[in-house]
Amino acid sequence: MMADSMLPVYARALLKALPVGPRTGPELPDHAIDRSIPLEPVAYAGFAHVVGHALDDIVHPGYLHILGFPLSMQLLADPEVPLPMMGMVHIHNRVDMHSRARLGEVVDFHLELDGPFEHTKGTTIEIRLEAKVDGRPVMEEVSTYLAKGRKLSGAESKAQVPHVEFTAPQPSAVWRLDPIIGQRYAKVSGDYNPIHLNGLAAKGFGFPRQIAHGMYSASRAFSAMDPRLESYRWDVSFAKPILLPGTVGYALTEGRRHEAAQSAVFDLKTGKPHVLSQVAHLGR
Amino acid sequence: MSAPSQRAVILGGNRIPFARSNKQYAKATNLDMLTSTIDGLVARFGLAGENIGEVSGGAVLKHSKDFNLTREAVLGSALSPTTPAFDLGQACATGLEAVVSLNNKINTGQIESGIASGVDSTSDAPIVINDSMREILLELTRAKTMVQKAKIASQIRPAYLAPQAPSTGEPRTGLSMGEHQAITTAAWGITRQAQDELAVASHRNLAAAWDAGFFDDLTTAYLGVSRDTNMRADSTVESLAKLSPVFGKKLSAAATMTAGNSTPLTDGASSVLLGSEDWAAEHGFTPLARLVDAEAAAVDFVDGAEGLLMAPAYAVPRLLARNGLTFDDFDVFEIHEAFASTVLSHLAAWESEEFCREKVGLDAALGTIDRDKLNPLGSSLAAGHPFAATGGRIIASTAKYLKTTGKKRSLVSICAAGGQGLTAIVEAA
Repeated sequence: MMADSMLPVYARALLKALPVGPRTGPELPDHAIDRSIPLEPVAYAGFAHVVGHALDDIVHPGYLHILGFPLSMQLLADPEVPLPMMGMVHIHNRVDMHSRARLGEVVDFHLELDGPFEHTKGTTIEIRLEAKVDGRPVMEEVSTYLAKGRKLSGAESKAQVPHVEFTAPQPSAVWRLDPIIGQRYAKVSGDYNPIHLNGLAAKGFGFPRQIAHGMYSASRAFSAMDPRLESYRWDVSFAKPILLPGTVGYALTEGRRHEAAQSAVFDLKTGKPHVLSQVAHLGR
Repeated sequence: MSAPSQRAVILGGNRIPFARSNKQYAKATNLDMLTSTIDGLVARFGLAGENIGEVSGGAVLKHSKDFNLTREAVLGSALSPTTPAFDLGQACATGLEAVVSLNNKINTGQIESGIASGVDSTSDAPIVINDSMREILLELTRAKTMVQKAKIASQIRPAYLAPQAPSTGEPRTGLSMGEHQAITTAAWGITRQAQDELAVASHRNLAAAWDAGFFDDLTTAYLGVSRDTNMRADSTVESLAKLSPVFGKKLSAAATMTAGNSTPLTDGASSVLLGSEDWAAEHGFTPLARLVDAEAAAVDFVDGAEGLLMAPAYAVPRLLARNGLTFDDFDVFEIHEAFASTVLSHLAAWESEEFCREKVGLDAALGTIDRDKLNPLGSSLAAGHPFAATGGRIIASTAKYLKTTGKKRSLVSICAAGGQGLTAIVEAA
């Protein structure tokens, strides 16, 4: 099971979403969280199967993300954070994988917030995660969350991930996604955000239907790309959310399976992108 | 006298007529059909009570409770209950691999006789519960206390109860076989007309063979069915031209694959009797033919680098090269018609200098197949394709065809799910 239950965090976040007074100061609280979490085979197996990854001893980077996720939400839900956690959108995720994490190892997580940063569509906050095993660097991750339409005076300026024109390729695979996938991923990830579980909750946040977890789609695309590199950078840009139920296309757009490559998950009808991923050799 | 490694001979076969899905065989299980098919072979060859070296078989759509399907069929048949059996699987190539593996066991002297078989029901198909429900049920069996069990059971949601029917979708791509083939069809520019012509030829040839009594000693009527029910002797290019495309409708190229030039879901079973020359002579059986060599191939279709059903296009050149043969050395080509366009894509690939040079590594194109030699008894478009039963249908038919026509050599080619293909050379005995 997850090290930290997410439910109290969401409850606090919901409270915080209520308009209880202006919070206009740009400073983020100077908190960090350190936590050691063992990589347990049974819990990991559930995750690996849901995101379509072969179960072996080398842990999917998406799993390290979800182990850190409750901790990152604790940081974001802090009342001193000047932006509301509920309604923040995960727009980009960068993982630098320095070495492999294996089942049975104990991962030392260190998480802290960075920002707020100016963004053309609002303000972003970054969650920086470091994962080490016995002092050996395993993973560094930057998860970028956007508070849409919120401008904070004093937010730092920062170069945004450039918008790239996307032309949908012919899908080499189609994913038929039932609403149940929201519950399955919630169960293995601990991310019970109601917009992934319930159409009504999703409507409350402006989505016509329940939406798939972004990191589910990203992790599944990673499984399909299945890179066999010792160290790599895994970049993910989240575009339009996937509405459930839904059928989406997947294709490699650059490179080959098992190698450095790029992939896209996209709407079969409109050709619009949902998740764009890139796995590249990690420059040293 | 043949070399010891070539002592296996094909002696005959038996199948039940193939029936379209959810019709006459709707309630027949894989075990029912396989047992009946083996019993028909036993009756034809007088093998009741006989101890056969080994029986091989399989089904593509197989429930885990049928883990010993072929052995169960043997136990239910008139064969001696001390006849061993094994199950195997290579998707649509299962039936041919069942023949190849027993052929090799006889050639190495491990066994003296064998029955290769295959069966598939798309009607009585295994139904699977979805993964969430399955996980919960498995967790329940691991739970020790009632409290634990209640906690786990409370996770069940109504949506988890919906069963999942089996599909012909590829696990890694989620695309159906037809959608995969549609991409290949478009890539090779295979026309609707050419596909419909191939389908008509298949129906015409199969009907002619039935009318001539060719299948009388290769089939046994079952559940009131005495001929393959998908066969339409009167089908014409004009009648097929009226059908709407069913695959490839989302591609930029025009959709050309219809229900008429694609193989329908079918139920059925087949079997082939093999033996060493000595065993055949002792039993007074006349050898029809021998399977002299086989070659499997696989392609990487997962990200679209090659078409799902194109593996035979790679296996055949290797098989010919190893045996020092060209297309001119063959009298018959038995190319399984998963879809008309699958056969036509293979022919186009072998005629393509670019494909043969760059993908296969030959100096030139492999060559052209004389259409009069292609599937002279009809193939899967007309007969139907109960996945694991197709290999046995083809091997028994082509072996008898060589014997009765005095022709010498047949090339057998079967494409399979997972980007695989299995091919073989059969020669008159």
